Amino acid sequence: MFIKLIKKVMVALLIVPLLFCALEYGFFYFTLKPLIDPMISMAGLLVSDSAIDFGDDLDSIYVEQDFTDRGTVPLSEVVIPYVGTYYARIESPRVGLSVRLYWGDSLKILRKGAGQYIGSNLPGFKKPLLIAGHNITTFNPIQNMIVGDLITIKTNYGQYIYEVYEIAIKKSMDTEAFNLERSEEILIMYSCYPFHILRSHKYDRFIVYGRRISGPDIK
Amino acid sequence: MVTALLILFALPTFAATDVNPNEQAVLTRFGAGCVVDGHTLTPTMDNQNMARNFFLMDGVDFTLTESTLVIDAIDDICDVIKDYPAIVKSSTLRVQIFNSLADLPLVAKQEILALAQNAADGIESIDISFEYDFESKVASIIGADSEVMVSAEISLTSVIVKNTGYDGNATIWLISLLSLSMITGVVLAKKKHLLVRKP
Repeated sequence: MFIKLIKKVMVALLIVPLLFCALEYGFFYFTLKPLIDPMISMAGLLVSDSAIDFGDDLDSIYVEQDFTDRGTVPLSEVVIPYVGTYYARIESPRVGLSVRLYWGDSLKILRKGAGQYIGSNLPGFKKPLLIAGHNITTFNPIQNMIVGDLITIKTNYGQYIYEVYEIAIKKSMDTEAFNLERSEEILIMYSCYPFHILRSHKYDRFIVYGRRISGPDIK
Repeated sequence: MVTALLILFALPTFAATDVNPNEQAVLTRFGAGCVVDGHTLTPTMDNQNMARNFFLMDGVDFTLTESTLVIDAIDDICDVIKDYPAIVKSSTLRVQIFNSLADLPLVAKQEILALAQNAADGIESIDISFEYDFESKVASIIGADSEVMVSAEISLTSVIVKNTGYDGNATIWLISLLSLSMITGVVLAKKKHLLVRKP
């Protein structure tokens, strides 16, 4: 009788409250995490008084340097990065875009900077590049781009400039909008659209298309 | 400037190497895909780019023996896929080989995984391994230092374009689940007259 009572008290005063507590924490964690993560990233950008240090657990091979114009670069000077490597910078000063460019576009990478799909091509190979960025942090400035803007990709082997020739809003499943089969060096930058609305899933993408106007070919 | 130079010298010289004829043979075989039930399943351009980028990496320089091993493995994988003609659908997307693989039963996936791992183990000129994560559906080639050299998601839908913003699907599911439990609780309590004040 006494043991039964103790069991009842244990269940009522210990196990049930603990279980409820764990469930509640779990609920709030999983519910709010997708909301809070991007907000923390954005808040970090707002309150910072210096250049953001994304303090990285990802690899980096990029080294800032100046380049003299050259028509070609030998393949032996190019490093094909491993997935998750910071290999270049992507900039467009008129709209205030200046972010790290990683090889790969996983969620982890997109929290650090812009991410290039590894099924696309590095600059200089005369084939399309597909680059994604977060709509409220890294690629937020691309919403202000206009046709004629210049976008620079600085790599270790050369500096590439692309001129924006089209800006469009298209469905994420529109395969023609993200066509990687072209035989010219097209820069395709995209971000989720609309930019400032929190919605469960965004089916539209804000896409900026650029055509390479300078930078060495890889031979 | 000095710092930049120091960093530059400290970096390992992982220069790209061109695709050699043995590797080109693998790319050609990979690009040809598999014929299943009269339909040709082919890898998409982005999958072929991934393969080419892998062969361009420093240290990746397949010998004739190694390329033959990989081509044989692709043939064997095609033989596995041929046993499941149902995966060929009318939709354009699904005649792309990587999408179709997602439709295979677990036993076939495991067989393909074993074939790919055997092929990777047979490569001696570079230390690589092949992995497939059944949870994330991501296939990867891992280098000697356990870093991912190349990875691809095997999915029924296009994986080229990512979700770059807030994805609240989990939130919606949890809120729906909680609302459902609350409604169920109220209905049950009403049925059992638990909400009636006892005299």
